[in-house]
Amino acid sequence: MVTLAWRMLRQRPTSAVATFIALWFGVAVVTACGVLLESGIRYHGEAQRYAASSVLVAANDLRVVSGHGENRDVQRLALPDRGRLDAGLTAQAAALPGVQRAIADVATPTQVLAPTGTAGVDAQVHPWSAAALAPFTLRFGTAPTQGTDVVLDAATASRLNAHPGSQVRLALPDGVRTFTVSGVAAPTGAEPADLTAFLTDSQARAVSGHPGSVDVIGVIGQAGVSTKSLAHAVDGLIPDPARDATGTFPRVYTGADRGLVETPDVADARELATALPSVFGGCTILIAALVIAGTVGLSVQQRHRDIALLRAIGATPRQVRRMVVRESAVLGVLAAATGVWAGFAGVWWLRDQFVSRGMTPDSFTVHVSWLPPLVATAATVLIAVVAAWVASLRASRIHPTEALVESAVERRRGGWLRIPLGLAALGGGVAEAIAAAHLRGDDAASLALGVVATLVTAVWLLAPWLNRLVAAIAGVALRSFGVTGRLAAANSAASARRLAPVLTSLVLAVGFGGSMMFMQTSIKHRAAEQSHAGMRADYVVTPSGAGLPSGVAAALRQVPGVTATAGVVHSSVLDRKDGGLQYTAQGIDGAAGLIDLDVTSGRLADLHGDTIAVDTLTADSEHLHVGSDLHAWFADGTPTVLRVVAVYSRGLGFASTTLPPNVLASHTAGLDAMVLVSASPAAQAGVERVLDQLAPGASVLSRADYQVALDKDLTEGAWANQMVVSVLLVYVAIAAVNTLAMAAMGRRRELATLRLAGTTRTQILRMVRFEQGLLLAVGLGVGGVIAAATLMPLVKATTGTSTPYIPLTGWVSVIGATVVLGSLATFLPVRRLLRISPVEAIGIRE
Amino acid sequence: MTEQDRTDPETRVDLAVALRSVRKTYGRGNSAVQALDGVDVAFARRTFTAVMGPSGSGKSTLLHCAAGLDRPSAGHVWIGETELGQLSETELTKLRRTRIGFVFQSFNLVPALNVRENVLLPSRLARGTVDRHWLADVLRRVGLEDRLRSRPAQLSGGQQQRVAIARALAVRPEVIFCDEPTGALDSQTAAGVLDLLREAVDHDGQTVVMVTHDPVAASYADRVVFLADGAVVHDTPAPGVKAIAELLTHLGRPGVPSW
Repeated sequence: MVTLAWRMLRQRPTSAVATFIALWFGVAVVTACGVLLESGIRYHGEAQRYAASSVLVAANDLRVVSGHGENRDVQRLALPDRGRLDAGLTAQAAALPGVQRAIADVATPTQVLAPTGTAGVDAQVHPWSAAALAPFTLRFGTAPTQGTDVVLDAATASRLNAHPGSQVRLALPDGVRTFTVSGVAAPTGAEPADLTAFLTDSQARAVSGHPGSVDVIGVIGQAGVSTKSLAHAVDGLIPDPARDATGTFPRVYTGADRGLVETPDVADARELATALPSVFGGCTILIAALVIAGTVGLSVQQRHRDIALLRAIGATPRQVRRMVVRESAVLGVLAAATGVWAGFAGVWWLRDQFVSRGMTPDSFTVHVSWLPPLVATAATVLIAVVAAWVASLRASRIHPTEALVESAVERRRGGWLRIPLGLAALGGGVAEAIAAAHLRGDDAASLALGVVATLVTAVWLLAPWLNRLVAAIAGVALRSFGVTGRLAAANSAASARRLAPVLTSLVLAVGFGGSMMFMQTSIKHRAAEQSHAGMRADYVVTPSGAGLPSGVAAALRQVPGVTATAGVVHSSVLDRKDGGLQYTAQGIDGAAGLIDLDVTSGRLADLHGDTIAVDTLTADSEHLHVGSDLHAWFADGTPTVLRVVAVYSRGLGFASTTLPPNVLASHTAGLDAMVLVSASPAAQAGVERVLDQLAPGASVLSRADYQVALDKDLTEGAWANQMVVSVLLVYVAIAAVNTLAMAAMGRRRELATLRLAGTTRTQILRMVRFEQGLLLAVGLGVGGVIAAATLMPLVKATTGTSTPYIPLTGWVSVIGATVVLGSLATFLPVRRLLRISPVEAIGIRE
Repeated sequence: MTEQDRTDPETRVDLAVALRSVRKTYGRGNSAVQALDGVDVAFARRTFTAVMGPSGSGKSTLLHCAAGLDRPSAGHVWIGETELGQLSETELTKLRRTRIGFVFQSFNLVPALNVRENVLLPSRLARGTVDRHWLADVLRRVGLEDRLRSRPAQLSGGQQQRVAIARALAVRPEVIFCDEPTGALDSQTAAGVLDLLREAVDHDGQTVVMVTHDPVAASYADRVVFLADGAVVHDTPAPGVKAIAELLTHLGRPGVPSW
């Protein structure tokens, strides 16, 4: 039977190829999701700066404990910024038995600059004692002994052409200072991802802005002491209550986990690599299931006569079912064998994109194992087999006498079970859409994918009746177009069921594409719009490196022609009540009048001390109002209670929360993300002179240029989501083209009969055009309704207004792509069919 | 032998197929069509019977019911000793592929398979063993020994119908049902096909039941059964082409009393 199935497949290459493509793409996308997820989970970064230290202590994550007893649940969230350790812990660790040395490390972002000019190298300041943790050893010169000495790593030194005795400038949080190069060092192992400038221990701590605390403690054991016993001993230093409580506490890291400590970006990369597949994985499988079920169903439907003939000759219903199921399984395995490679290639490509866009460190690697391709293969083959089995139930009910009648007339409209199931899916989809409107951002987004999938399933189930209804209504109009219109109306009505998978794939493409694409454009548009409306500054100063020293804003205010300046700190605040939900936070002096956040209640002028202003979306979802308290953590894990003093509407364009700049700065590296300046154009030269002094390389953007740059940033920020959505969009588009082409190729006999009856080529094309127009109109209409039902609550949840923003190019691309691809997929096959002589087409080779 | 004897299951010792009080209604209510209206007919072994009648007289329905392709609304059908009404769909299918052969008007070969594979398909489906000598004999007789690797599309209509006959003969069925086997063939090719069927009866002791429009085709049969409005109206042994044509003309004209 397998050979028979294979032979019959070869006879109908269109449907076999279509099913194969649907399966292949499904395998590739699911494999890619799995590989990306596994790479993210397994990604630890690499210990280079701390390679010589077997045990590290750091406070990099936030532990959230919820529930009690059986229901107790512990979650670890990566902190947006590094947590701090008590410097006293270093001495305690050093005193432990078996410890050779315990060294405190503090990292401060900097830019190393030549004595003149603006060309600089981004690097990190570390204390010289921490050089032993790699270890870095001196190549030339001596260790730093005075406050103005610096040891550069070999890469920085060669880029600045510096050698012992040269002068360099370091842009530090408190300003630009000149140092003398005392030596050049290099690690014995691999170069760390970040370049390094070593200062004396006391100077390094002083420039960090938090001299009483350290970032990381590295412990080097005595010879013969195992890492395990060393880790155990160090762990004993961490106070007891910290083991069970919610919050940020010191934690011991050994082995590969040390990479997490060395590069905090690793946590972001992990988050990105795991979030993408988690958000889109389920939706991908749903789409694959819908696409594969549709294609397999259609391919069985088209072999109606072949199957009836086999039944007449003596194939039992069971044999027919087995043949159909095996054929799908064979195709599934073939598709998997080739598709997984495409999945791997996709993740490799994605990894390069992530790295080149700075979204993950260069050390992010694709982890290839047998698990993701196995799961993808199993899932796809399972979907294919189940889809084939369902289709085969219908196939095995095909009556043998149907082989003997001249034309295969559609008999039933569909099982009556479809109506209650379809209505249930419809109701479920509407309920989900309503629920999504009351959720916040990400949760709403993941539910939105569910809304699309549920509503498309409803369309799939109800399609036979929907098609009939539409055909009946449109038939009235079509009949006025003469004989071809009449034929088109009759065909549309008669093939209501045959067209169900075709309509479903069209609706899926339009509904999914419309909602996901315009979701992005809406958010971007709202953010740009709010930023445009709220930005009052004439100029925006942005840094070339990690940030601007905090003195820049004050210095610029002294420049003649400058009327106001305000430094803006960017960070985040984590909600203690909501399991560490992260809000974007900006620190800005609200009274400076350089931004207008459109305050709806309270006053920004009240932002002093432990206070916060929140945007309306946050206020609504967290039930906050002026006077209420927000229990939160700062980005470094410090707990706090903030009094809400104002609520404003332009959160999307700026940040969800606004805090006094000094409060936020004390929990970050202390750099300004930008400085807003209100000044006359005449002040520009003075501004640039100050920046050359304090922040070499910083750029001054006019308000208009800043908006352009922001637009680019917003686009870049949405790149990963956009890319995944595009891939899935290509998948649903291929599926739609697939089913349309299959449906068209399946009309060989019917078109031949019409031509034998005297219909001309032109008339047939005209008839197909009418039918196609009707089908595309319904697809666009229903898909559009689904997109709207998904978009409106989603846009409401993410932007606060329920009107999605759809640019003209958006309308043109969705409608244009649907019409162009849909027409090509139908007319190319139909034209091919019309080239075959009708007598041959109606004959045995059907 | 009276009509009653032929269809009595107790006495039909030598019957290949028997139908008793078979009715078949299509559709429901006002649109119901009575295709067979209480048909009693039996076909003895080693005979060649032609079933004739005007369009819509129910001959195809009779064939489908007799062959187990369709189930009658009422009445009984036997193939040999087996009553079809009691069989499940799967049992019925198994009976079809081992005890019944089919030859259809539109050839109905599987286009993906070559001649040999098409002929072997029913035995393959039944997972039965193939009698190689018998197969070789059948293929030689239909004259297609040198076209075994050809696909149906590469054959002429007459050749395709020979393949269909070979397929029917290959399993040595109890009865071969033919539905307009010569309907799509020119008269000379048709004669070759009908000779093959005649030979199967005379030479191998096969039973053939053939639905046809064509008096010439019917003249190859031992007996001709005429149907009109879903009932048997005439049953006569080998009447000859001219007599058949006359009978048909009368049957086709409404209002003319039939015998």
